[in-house]
Amino acid sequence: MLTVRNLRKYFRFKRGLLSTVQYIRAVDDVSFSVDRGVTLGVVGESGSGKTTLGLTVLRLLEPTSGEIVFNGVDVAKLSKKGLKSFRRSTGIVFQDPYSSLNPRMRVKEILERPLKIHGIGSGEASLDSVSGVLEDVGLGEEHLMRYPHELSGGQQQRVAIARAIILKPQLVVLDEPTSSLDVSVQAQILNLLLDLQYRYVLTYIFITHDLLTARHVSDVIMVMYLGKVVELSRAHELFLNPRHPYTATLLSSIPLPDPKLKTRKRMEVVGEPPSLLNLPKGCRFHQRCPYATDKCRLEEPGFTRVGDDHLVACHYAHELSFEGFTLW
Amino acid sequence: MTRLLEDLRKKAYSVYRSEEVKLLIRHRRGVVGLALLTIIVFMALTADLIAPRRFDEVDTALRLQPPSLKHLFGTDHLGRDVFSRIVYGARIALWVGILVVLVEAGIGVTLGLISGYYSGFLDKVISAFTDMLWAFPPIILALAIVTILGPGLTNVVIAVAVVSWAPYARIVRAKTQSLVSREFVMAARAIGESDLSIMFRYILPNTLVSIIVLATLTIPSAILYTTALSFLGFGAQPPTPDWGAMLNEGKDYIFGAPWNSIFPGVFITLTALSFNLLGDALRDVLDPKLRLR
Repeated sequence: MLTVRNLRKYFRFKRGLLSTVQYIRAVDDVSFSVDRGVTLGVVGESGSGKTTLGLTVLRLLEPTSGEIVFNGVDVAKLSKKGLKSFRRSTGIVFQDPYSSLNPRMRVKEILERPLKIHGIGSGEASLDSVSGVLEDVGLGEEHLMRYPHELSGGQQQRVAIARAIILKPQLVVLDEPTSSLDVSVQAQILNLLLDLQYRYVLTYIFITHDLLTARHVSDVIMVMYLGKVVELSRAHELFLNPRHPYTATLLSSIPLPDPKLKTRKRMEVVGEPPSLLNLPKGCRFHQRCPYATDKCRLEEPGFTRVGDDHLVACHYAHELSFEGFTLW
Repeated sequence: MTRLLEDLRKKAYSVYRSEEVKLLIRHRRGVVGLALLTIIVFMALTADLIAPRRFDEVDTALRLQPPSLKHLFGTDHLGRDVFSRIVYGARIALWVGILVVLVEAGIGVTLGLISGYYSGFLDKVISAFTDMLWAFPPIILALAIVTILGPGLTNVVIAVAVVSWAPYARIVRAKTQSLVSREFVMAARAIGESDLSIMFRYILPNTLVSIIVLATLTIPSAILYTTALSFLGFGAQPPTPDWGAMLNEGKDYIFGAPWNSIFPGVFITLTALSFNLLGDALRDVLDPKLRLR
C-alpha cells in the first residue's frame, strides 16, 4: 500500500554570512514498504530521524528527493488538490497530546474540522460521526464542549487519536504516541490503538524509542541510526536474531525487571552519536562499533539480505555473532 | 494566624470565577485605571444627561467666565460651557482612540500573520517595511499624511493608524513564528486545513491575548496623536468639542482664562493614563511574558 524509495530529507543549515551552506541529513536514502493493516515500527535514539521520516512520508515536510508511493500515486509529486485527498486517507498522532490540540478549540470543533474540510456530512450527520468516534476512543458526549486543558493527558491523547481516525484513513503515523503519558495510561492507549487498527484495518507507522513497545505493536521493525536504516526485519525475528551491532546494542540496553540477571553481560558502545553535520566516512556507526574494521571506516555498507524479509546494513552481517551477550 | 488569614482571603477570592479576574482585582494600579476609565466612559455614554448645556451653545454675554457653581469648568471665548464641552468631548476621544486602534490592529495583525507564517522573501519584505516605519517620527509622518488627505477627524484616524501599526506587526509575527512550529499547527495541516484557515482558526485565536493587551496600551498614544493633530488644527473642525481643538482655542487666553486649556489637558492626560494603567495590569495578568519594545 505504501512504498517509500530512496527518501531523503536534508535541512539547509548556514552559520554565518560567508560560511558555506551545510546540510543536515536527517533522513538519508530510506526505502521500505508497508502492507495494508500492518504495523511498521520505527525505532532509534533521538536524532536518528524517525520523526522527520514520519513527517516527510505524510508530506508535512517536503522531501528533498525520493518517492513516496501511496496506493500507486507518488505523493511527493502531488498537486495541492491531490494532496488534499491524500490528507483524507492519512492521519497523525503526536507525542505531546496537549501541544497537538489547539488550546482555543473545543473538542467538538477539533473533531468537526476534518469533516468540514473534506465536505463530509453536515450538522446532524457530522455531530453523529463526532459522537461515534468519541465513543470509539473511549470518551463520551460530556467531553464534547471541553477545552483541551480541561482534559487529562490520556484524554487529550484520545482526542488526538479520534481526530486522526475520524476520516477513516488507511495510513496513520503514530509519533511516540505514548511516550509522554503515565505508564498505566500508556497501556490503555496502546490497547486502544491496537483495537482501532483491528476494527478499521488501519496501517500504522509506529515511531518509538521504546523497543518493548515496538515489539508489542509492530509486525515489522525498522531500526534507524543517524538518518539511515541499519536493520529491517519482522519483529520477532529482530528480537531473536539481531544482525546489526547497533541493533544488538539497543536490545542489550533494554532494562529487564529480573534480579537474577544482575550478571547479564551487556553489549555496550562508547561515546555519543556523531553530529549530523559532521558525519563520519564509511559506516555511520563505525566510531562506536566494537567490531569496526578499516573497511567500515572507508566504505558505506549496502543492504545484505540475511533471511526472508531481513535486511542489514553491515559489511559483516553474515559473520558477526553476538553470542555470549545477554541481549535482552 | 497568618495561615488562617490566607485561607480567608482565598475563600473571599473564590467568589470570582476565573483566576484572571482575581489577579486583576488584586492589581491596585489596574483597579485605579479601570475606575478612571469607567468614569470617562460613563461621561461619554450619558453626555446628554449630565451636560448642563449643549456643547455648541453660544452665549456671548458669558464670555471667559471663571469656574463657578453654574459653570463648573468656566466658559470659553464664545461663552460656551467648558464642562459640557469636556463631557461631549469624551465621546470623541474614546471613539477616535478605539477607531484608530481597530484600524492599526487590522493592518498590523494581517501583515504580522502573513510575515510570520510565510517565512522567506515575503517575511523579509514586510519586516523591512515595518522597521522602516518604526524609524520615522510618527507625528511628522502623520502630519504629512493629513496634509495630503486634508483636515478632518476621519483623515486624522487614517493618518495615525497608518503610522502606528508596526508594534502589532512585530508582536503578531513573533507569536506566529513560535506557534507555526507547534504540533497543533502540524496536525491542522495533516487534516488538510488551508493556510488561510490555519492562520485564522489556529494562530490568530492564540495571539488574541497579546493583541488585546497591546491594544489597551496603544489607545493612549492614539488619543495623544489625534488630539495633537487636532491641536495643530488638522483634526476636528469647530465647533466639535474635541479636546485637542479645545486646547488650541484655549491657548490664546491661557493667561486670562487658563481653565479653557487646563481642563481639556487634564482630561486628555487622565484618559491616556487610565488606559495605560489598565493595559499594564492586563499585561501582568494575561500575558506576563509580553514586554513591549
